Amino acid sequence: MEAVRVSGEVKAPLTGCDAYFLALEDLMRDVGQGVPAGLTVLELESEPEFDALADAARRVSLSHPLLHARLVRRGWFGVPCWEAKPPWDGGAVRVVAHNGVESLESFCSRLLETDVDGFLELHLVRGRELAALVAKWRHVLFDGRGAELLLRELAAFAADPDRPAEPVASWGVPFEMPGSVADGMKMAKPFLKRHDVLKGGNFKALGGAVPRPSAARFRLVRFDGSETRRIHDRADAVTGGIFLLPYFLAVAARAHAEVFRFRNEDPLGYQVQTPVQIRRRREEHPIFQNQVGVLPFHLIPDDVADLRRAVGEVQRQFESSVREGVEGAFGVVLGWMRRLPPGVYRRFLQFDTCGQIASFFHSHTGEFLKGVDSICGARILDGWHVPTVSQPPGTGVFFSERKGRLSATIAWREGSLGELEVDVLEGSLRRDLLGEGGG
Amino acid sequence: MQSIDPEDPLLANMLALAWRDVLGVDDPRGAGDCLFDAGLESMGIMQLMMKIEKAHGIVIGDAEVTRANFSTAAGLVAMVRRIKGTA
Repeated sequence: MEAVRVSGEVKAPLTGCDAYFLALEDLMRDVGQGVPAGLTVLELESEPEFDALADAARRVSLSHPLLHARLVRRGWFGVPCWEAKPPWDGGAVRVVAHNGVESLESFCSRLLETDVDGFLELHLVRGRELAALVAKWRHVLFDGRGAELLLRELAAFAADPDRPAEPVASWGVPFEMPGSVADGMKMAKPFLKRHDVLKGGNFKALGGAVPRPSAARFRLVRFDGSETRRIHDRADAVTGGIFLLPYFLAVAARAHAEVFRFRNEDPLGYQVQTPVQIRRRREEHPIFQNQVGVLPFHLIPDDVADLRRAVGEVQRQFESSVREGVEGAFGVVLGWMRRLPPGVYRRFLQFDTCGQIASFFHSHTGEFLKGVDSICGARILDGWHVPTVSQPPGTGVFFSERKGRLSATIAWREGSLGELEVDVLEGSLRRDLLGEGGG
Repeated sequence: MQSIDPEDPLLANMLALAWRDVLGVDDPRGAGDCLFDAGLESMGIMQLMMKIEKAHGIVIGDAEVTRANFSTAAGLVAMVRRIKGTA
């Protein structure tokens, strides 16, 4: 999609997934878990030029009206919209420099404990042996791929100091809603068919059903080039080298099952709604909004007892979902749900899932920031995401890959996983991904 | 693999389905260009399967869903011909 130049006031209806995150935000704020946010981290070879970064951030701010938007809902059941009125200022993206940082991961953990100023913050991190740029973004306006596209644009602005800022529309609702309720009901049928299997009682989350105030935690699991090649070889042997989505989801589900076993608990099943990117791989827009479809998966304990069987079952559900149009059906239902006030939406979600929401969150965002080698004069050495999760479900496993090196981020809420349980989860991921002892 | 006539209408159809409809590239590349390098991934493969099945009235069995068959438009042409028994 091309970004079209805009002038005057702008309005952008929320996507179905934006509204889902707004409902989660309501739940999280209510119990003291902050907001759904994410960090996108670029590890750099050298310190980037602060002035170039600040100037690029200023032009990004001037170019994207949604960074200045406020949420507007007209009437009780109107579709909520982002609305913004010019003039745009250059200060919507706060840039902060941090000196003397000793550990990037500890810095990121501290950053997760603070609220997001606006929708996007940029943190320039400097230490004796480290340089990094960390983007912190609110999930109601960005998804992980969108955060990468924003950084791509930031790098492009920094590389061309003469490129002027011009406001563009870089947003859009990925699903065209049906024209009538009857058409919608027809499209939503595959969702209703699956709803009985997916509703609460059939699955469990590690964090429990009752939301508690808790801090966001994460552990980054890095795999070097040779380990990543090994991981791909193993995945190819199981999947025929073709469907990676079912493979990584199966690995994440088995890691959660391992923690339940460690607790001597035996849930009836595992449920996860997997986001699927709507943006085409090469497109640089839309940057904003959650541009994803959703595919649901449900696994029973027998499915996850063996990696091949788990992958096969996810693969079977993946294929039947696509054949039956489940993604479109979820798109319609999420589109309708946008009309609910967030407080009603999240209670509906909790009621429908016996409070659990899902067994865990999961995504694989694919190749991280492909084609961008440097930013503000500094070469990018590595990159990864840290999404925060709500509790429930309390845990998530997220993958991405940068230049042939896979990263897995285990994210959880304090109290949802103990330190030993994080070790158990990581151990299972390593064993499945690398084989045998996982070393 | 059999050589493919660049004027083959089946090849033109596979190029259009894979490059234009699924990958969103307006100017489809050649028969041997790698679809995976261009960003074809799980969801795209599934969409491509559905489109090919619908366009040609065939069912692509599990055994045909391989990296070799889905790597290039030429591989897709060979696969469709094999399934239709016209290889």
